[in-house]
Amino acid sequence: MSTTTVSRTPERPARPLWRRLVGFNLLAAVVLGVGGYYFGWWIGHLVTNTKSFEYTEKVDENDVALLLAYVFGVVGFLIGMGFANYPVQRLLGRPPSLREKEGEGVSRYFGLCTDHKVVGIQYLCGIGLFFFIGGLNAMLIRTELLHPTPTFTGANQYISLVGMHGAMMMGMMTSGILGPFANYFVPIMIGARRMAFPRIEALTFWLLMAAGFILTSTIFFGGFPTGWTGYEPLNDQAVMGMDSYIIFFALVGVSMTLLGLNMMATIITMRAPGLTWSRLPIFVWATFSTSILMVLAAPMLIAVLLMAALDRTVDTTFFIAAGGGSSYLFENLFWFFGHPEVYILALPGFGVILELLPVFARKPLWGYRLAIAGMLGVTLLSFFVWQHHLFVSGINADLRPFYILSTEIISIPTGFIFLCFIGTLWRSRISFTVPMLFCLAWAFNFLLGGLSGVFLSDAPTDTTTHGSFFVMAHFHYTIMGGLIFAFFAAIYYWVPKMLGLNFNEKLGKVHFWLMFIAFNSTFLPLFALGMEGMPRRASFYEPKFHTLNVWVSVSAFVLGFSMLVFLFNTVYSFIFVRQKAAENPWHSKSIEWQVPTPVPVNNFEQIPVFDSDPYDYGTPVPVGAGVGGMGGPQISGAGG
Amino acid sequence: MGLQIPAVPAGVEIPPEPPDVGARALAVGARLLAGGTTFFFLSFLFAYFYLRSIDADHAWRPKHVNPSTGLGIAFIVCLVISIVLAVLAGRGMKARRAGWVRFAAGAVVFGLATVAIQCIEYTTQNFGPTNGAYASVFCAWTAFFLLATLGAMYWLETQVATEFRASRSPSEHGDIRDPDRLIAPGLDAAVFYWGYLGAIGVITYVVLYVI
Repeated sequence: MSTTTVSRTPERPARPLWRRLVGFNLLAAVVLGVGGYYFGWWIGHLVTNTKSFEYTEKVDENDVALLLAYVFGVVGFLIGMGFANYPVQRLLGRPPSLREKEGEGVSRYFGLCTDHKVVGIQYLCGIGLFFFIGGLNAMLIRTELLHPTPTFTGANQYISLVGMHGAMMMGMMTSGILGPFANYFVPIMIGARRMAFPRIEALTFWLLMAAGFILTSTIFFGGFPTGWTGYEPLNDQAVMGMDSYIIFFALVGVSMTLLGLNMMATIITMRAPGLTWSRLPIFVWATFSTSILMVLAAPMLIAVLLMAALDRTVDTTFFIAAGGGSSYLFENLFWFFGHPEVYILALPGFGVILELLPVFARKPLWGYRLAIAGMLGVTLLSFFVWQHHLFVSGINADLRPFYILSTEIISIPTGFIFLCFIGTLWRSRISFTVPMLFCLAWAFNFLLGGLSGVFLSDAPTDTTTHGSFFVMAHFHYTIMGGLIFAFFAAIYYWVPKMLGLNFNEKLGKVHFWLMFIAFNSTFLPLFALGMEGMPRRASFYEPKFHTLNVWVSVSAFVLGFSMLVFLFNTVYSFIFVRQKAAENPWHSKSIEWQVPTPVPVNNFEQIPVFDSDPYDYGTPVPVGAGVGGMGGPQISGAGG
Repeated sequence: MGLQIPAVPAGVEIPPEPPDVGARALAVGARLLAGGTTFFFLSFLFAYFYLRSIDADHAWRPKHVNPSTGLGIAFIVCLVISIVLAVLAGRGMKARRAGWVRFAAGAVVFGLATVAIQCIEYTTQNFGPTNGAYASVFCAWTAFFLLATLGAMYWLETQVATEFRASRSPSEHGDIRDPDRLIAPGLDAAVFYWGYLGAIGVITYVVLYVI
């Protein structure tokens, strides 16, 4: 049975360069974004009756001007990209449409495009950029910590660096897997031609990019002293750099909400015939669970940041005790989002790992339903644990047992995932490919992260380790060990399908081993430092911690170097060697590997019909079903 | 994965998408948006009770902080009328009665009236956002409800405008087959969302004016 998919894109004569530059595109977006920024800045000064329009003057005084500048800047940017055209057309009664700028040219990657595959690649590049900026911040932090006393940054700059690193990673990487890989592959995995709301899909990406640049701009306004959590009352007292943080995270929240909404609507409504809930690939289930959290938790983040913005601009008193407010209100609302946020980061990693394991273990996924129960269990329970972040902040002591228990209980559904991991590997024939190595490393890292989390869920141990490097080691093991290793597994696994080009495997393995060893060498000693009492977010520490800190810093530099190896591999493989990837290099039975490379604009010429469960490795391909005619290798009996 | 992808000759045009796919997405999307909206406004509800319960520095609600009951009643009456008209429009559409557009237009007018009344309230009330925690919650909560209302009114208006356009120039084809068949699901989704938001509005009114 053959599959031939043909793009419907009509051929048009090439337009002259000047004509291509005029219109709704990235250039117009930047121009209108900058214009909007200065317009907002001007309006802000107008309404606050300050005479100065100087960019740098009175830099810590006019939060109204900066917030309005950001808001108008983002609105101008989106108008320039063309996001306002369709809503205006609908306002005038034009009929709905689904597609915009789904051409074949390179320009579609730099503008509003409703092709989910283009958006996926946009996400991969955009998030990659900010991941490297965040990583660079980490290198600067570790450079500072080479000495017990501040050397090249002052205390303010150091805490801003820590805040930027944390906010960049926690904000941008919320979409680290869903943005590139779920956007690209979920529609294909469910046999759909598009996402439910294609323009919203594109909007989520460009909002995130705007957010990333806004956060980066905080260095022009004095940075922010709160770390990634933005705690009150420090938030209210901070200089204008805090406004960058507020707008950044609010935009991330909007992007997250819309991304989750779009994913859920797509999965619920656009599955191909025969693709029942019990036949969904596990990655789609992980996407679905994550999306529930995004839709329900992120609006709380938006709300609490809007409250903080109002406190800073129009002098509301949500978090000001003298005006009847309370900083604990911020902490409660923030962590009501913040703890699900941890699972927003972790769940897609679970999905990637469990999706890849059967491919490289040549076995069906063990405990498919158990894995789903685990992910949904984590989703549900993550809304009932947020107070454990406030154990030392004056929480009512009577509440502690409940939150200790709920936090410890959440390790049970997480344990389901590990059980499925072990069960799938049990007596399997493992191929130690680069993606599989990252999967195996994920299990090791996340296990350490999870086990150390059990200690932190207990109020007594949490009280002694709170605010120390122990906490930092814990969440780096869960977030970097859980998410980033899964992120790289996904990159090595899926990018050959996305771009049609192979990575160099030897360089990939060098990247993996460097990263795995350096990661553990960096973060394992932090547990010891934390237990000894070294605080987070401080640029000077006791001399007795010096040796271990030097070790950690050097390890961190090796970790940073491993990212350069990855970058080199990307440039070397995709620009110089350009070895074409086979259509199904991993002999996967999953549907995304059965479509041609590159995937056509409409994915499938006709909507596929599903007639069996996923992950049927070890069973012969049914007669009359499968992948014939695609040019890829036959996979009949591959899993045996 | 056992799947069957039927063979299709190269060069075949893919037909426009059937409208029922978009209709399902609209229905689900509206409900998910309602879920997100609920949690957004839950933050303000939580802030209200949290700050009221601790009454820090006895600054929860100074005595002079009293929003106008008359304007509050006018607000809630307009809101309820708008929702009732929207529901009638939705039912009229399902029953294929031509007059549904008038109901929908009326819903938009009354919905915008709630926005206008709230704006009047801001300009006439004897307190501002700086006058204690209650005033902060009142001003922020109502302001964001006002913005959400404007969004819902935009959504309803697009349905009315699409109906007018459809009756003037039917069978405009794009990448959706027979896009006019999406007017009913579009209206249904908008009415659901506005009804849900209206319920949040009623709770807002009860909490801020009555309790």
